[in-house]
Amino acid sequence: MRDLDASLAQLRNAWIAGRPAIESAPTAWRDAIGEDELALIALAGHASDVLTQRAPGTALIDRPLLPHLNAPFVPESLRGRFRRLLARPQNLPSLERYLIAFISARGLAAHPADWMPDAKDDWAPDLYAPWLDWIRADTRAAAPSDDEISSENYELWSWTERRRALAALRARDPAAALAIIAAKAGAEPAERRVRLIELMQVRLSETDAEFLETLAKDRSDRVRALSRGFLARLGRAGDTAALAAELAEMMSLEKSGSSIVECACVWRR
Amino acid sequence: MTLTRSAIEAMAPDQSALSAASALLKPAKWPVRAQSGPLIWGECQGSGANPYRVVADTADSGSKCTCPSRKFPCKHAIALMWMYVDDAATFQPGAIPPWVEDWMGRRRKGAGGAAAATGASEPKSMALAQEDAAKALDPAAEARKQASAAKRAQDTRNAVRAGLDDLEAWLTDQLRSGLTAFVTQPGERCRRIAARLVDAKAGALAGRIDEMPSRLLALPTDERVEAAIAEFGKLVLLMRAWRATPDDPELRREVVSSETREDVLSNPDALHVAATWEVLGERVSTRRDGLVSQATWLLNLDAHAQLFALLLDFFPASAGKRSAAFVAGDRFQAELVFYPARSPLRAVIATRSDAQGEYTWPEPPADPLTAYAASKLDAPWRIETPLLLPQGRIAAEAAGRAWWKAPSGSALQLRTNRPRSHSAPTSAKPPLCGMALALA
Repeated sequence: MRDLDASLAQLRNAWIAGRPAIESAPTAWRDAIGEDELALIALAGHASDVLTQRAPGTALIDRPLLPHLNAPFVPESLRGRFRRLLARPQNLPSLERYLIAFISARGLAAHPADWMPDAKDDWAPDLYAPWLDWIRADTRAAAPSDDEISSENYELWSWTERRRALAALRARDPAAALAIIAAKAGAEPAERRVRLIELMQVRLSETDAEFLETLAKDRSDRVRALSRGFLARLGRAGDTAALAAELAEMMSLEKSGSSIVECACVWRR
Repeated sequence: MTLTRSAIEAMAPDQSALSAASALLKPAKWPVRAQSGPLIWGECQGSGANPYRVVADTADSGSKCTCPSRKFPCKHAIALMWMYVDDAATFQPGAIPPWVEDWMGRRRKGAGGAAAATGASEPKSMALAQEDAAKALDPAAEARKQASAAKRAQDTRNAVRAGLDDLEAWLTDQLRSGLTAFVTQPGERCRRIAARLVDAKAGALAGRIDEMPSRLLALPTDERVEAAIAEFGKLVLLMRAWRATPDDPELRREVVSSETREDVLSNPDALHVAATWEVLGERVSTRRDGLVSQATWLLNLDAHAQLFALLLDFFPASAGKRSAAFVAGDRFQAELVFYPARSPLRAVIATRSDAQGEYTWPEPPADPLTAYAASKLDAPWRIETPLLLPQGRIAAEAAGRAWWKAPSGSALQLRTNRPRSHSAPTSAKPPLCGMALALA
C-alpha cells in the first residue's frame, strides 16, 4: 500500500507540473494500458478513491459528546409535525422562536436531529444552555467553574454559564447580582441585555428601582418595556394617567345591529 | 357553485392545457384519488421523481398542484377536476391528509376562478382536447413517430461520439498544461467544453462538467488537485464505457439524458422496492445551466438490501422557488422504482402512503467502506455514494477539520467542520448524522 501511495504521489506531481506521468506509473499498470495517459488518470483516480484513505494531518481530538438536557425530547409521534412547522413555508415568517418557546414551556426539548441553536441564538430558552456551550466550546475557553461570578471575571464566563451563575447569585444575593448587571448590561447587545434584565424578576425590590429607571432611555424597545414592567410591579408605574389615556384611545365602542354593543381594540406599536 | 365541464373549460388557461390534461385521464396515472366534502385530491404521475399532489375545491374551483407549471390551473388540476366531473364515484371517500389541510389553511378563497378571464377570448373545448388525444394514439402516426425517434437516436449517438472526441482532447490539454493551472481557474475552461458537449447532444455530461468547478472550489485548496484527478478519471471511465455500449441505459443517462418517469415505471427490468423510507436530507442547488436541482436522499428502514434511494428533480430557476416536498426526518411507506443501473440509486416514487408505527435505523455494516468500494466498482463514474456509518465519534485535527472516527481508530474526513442547526434545512447534514451516532 505504501508503494501505491508513493506512485500516486509521483503521478500527482507529474500532472501538477504538466509533465507526462506514464513513467511514474506502477509497472503492472503500464503493462495494462501502454502509453495511454487518460487511462492512467482513470486508474489513479479510482485507486485513490477505493484503495487509499486520507489520513488526518495531526492527532485527532474527540469532540465532547453532546450534553444531555434536563428535559425529555419531543415525543417521536410528534417530531414529524414539529419538523414541518420548523421548515418555514414559502413567504411565511419563521415560527422557529415561537415553536421552541412553546415546547420549552411544556417541558420538552427538540431532538438534536430536528433543531439545535446556533452559536448566536441567545434567545434560546435556558433549557438549551448546555448545547449552546457545547456549540461555542471550540472558540471559547471553559468558564471558571470554581469562582463566583463577579464584575472582574464576568467576561471569562461563557454566555450561558454567565447567565446561569447570575441567576444563582440573584437568588442568593440580589444586590450583588444587580451590581454586576448594572455594570455589564450596557456593553451587551440588546438580545442579551433583555436576558440579563429578565434575571431581576427574582427577588425584585425597591433597591433595583434606580437602575431600572436608567433603562428608560435604553436603545431597545424590549429593554424599555421590561424595565417599565418591573417598575410597575414596584408601584412606580410612571405617568399612569397618560397610560390610561393611551389605552382608552385604543378602544372604541360601536353599535352593531339593534342591541349588540361591540368593543373593538386596536393595537398600535 | 357546482363543478361542470363548462366551468372547467372556462377556467382552463388555454386549449393546450386541456389537451395536456386529457392525456392524464388514464386511471393508471393516478395512484391516489380521494374526496371529502367539496374537496378532491389526488397524486398524479408526472415527470418528477415524486408524484405531483393535486387538490381542488369543487365548491369554488380553487386548486393547487405541486408541479412547477406556470399555468393556472395546471394540466394536473384540470385533469383531476375533469375526472371528478366525469365520474365522481372513482374518488374514494377519505380523511383529509395533512398536505391538503395545509393548502386549505393558506389559500385565499375565490382565487380559483381568477384564471378564467385571462383566456376568455380563446375558444376552449374538452371534446376537442379528447379528439387530439385520440389522434395521438393512431397506429400509423405512432409508427412514424417511432421511426423518427430511431433516426434521432442514431443522430444523437453520432453527435455524442464527436463530442467525446473533443472531450478526450480537452482532458489531454488540461494534463499537458498542468493541473495547478486548471484548479486555479476551472470555471472558464469547463464552461467551454460543456458548451461544446451541449452542441454534441451530451447534455447530461455537459451538466456534470459545468458543475465540476463548484465541486472543486468547495474543497480546501490542498485537496483540489486530487479531486480534479478523481473527476477526470471518472470522465474517462464514463466516456469509454459509453463508447463500448452506447445503448446501455445507465450510461446513456449519465452522458446524454435521463429516461422519462413513464419509461422507468413501465420498464419491466426496473427494480421495485416497497418499504418504509426516511428522508435523510434534501439538497437544492441552482446549476450554471439555469436549472435548479432538487435531490432528496432516502434511507430504507425495512431492510439492508437497497439501503438508499435518491429522488432527483430538475426545474428551471425562472419557475421560482418550490416548496420542499419533504422535510428531513419524514417517514413514509412507498413503492420506489429504480432507474436501471448496476448499483441502483436514483428512483421515482410509484405509490406513497403515510408510515405507521415506530421505526429504527437499520444496523450499519461493520465495515462501511467495503460496501462503498463495491458500489464504486459497479459505477466508478458516480460522484456521490451514500454509506451508513456505524457508531463513532466526531473528532477534529489541529487545523480544525472535522473527522468521523470509528472505535477501531480509522477515520473519515467530514466535509463540514461545524454542526449546523435547522437554519440550513436544504442540505443533508453529515455532522448531525455524526452527532446522532455519538449520542447513541
